Amino acid sequence: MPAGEAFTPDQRRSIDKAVRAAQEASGYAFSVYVGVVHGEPRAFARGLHGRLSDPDNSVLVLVDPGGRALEIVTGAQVRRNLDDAEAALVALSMQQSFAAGDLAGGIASGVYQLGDHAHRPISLHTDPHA
Amino acid sequence: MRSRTTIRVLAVLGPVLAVVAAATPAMAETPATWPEPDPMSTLDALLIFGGIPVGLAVTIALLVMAPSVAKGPRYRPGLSWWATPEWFGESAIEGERRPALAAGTGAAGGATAMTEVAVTQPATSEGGAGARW
Repeated sequence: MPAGEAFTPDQRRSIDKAVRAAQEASGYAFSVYVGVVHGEPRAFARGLHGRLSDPDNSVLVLVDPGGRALEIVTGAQVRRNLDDAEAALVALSMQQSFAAGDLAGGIASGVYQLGDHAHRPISLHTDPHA
Repeated sequence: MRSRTTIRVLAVLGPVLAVVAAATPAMAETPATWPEPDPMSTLDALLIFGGIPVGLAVTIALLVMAPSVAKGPRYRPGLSWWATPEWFGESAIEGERRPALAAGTGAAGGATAMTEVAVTQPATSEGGAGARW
């Protein structure tokens, strides 16, 4: 992989589209970081997640292509709809794509899946934002 | 004995002479009716005998490389990665560091596994999952 751009404009658009779709489907904020990890991936991912503007309502997806590490961090609120087993399922499917060399496709489909899982059922008798 | 040697020499020379004698047309000049071409300049010769082969080679090389150039860089697991880090969605670079969460000790759930996916779900704030490939 040469230095410089990680994705083509098309790939970047497809990931952006997936992030927007996931945010619309779930109502939570999604952030995807693709790059080098300093130190232990899980701790690094949680550090990044903690620096988001609203961590409790955010999902952070970290991909380190060189270190071959994937981390999905879900905020406390998100976790009520997107539990760790579901996140692990998505991680597994992303892992398959990455191992096959499809970085952008794996990220996009993973984010779509996370958005689907985190989808909040519409409650008709309570105010979900109360 | 002597006549036998003569026969041998003739057996070798005969066909050679016959072939050379029959080949006289090959030594002929180009027919006088053919137009005399203009002498070719060195530049023309270089262009025709150098430029065309090089051009063909370049064209074929471009045709071979075009699909992979159009598809963009391909990620190959196991090779090192130097691309600049990228963010999609909200970036955490400019954000305020929240000490409680950024400290990264104790209160977080989630899972990390080498070579396979693992899950743990303690009753704590954040969660998630990890994988290696």
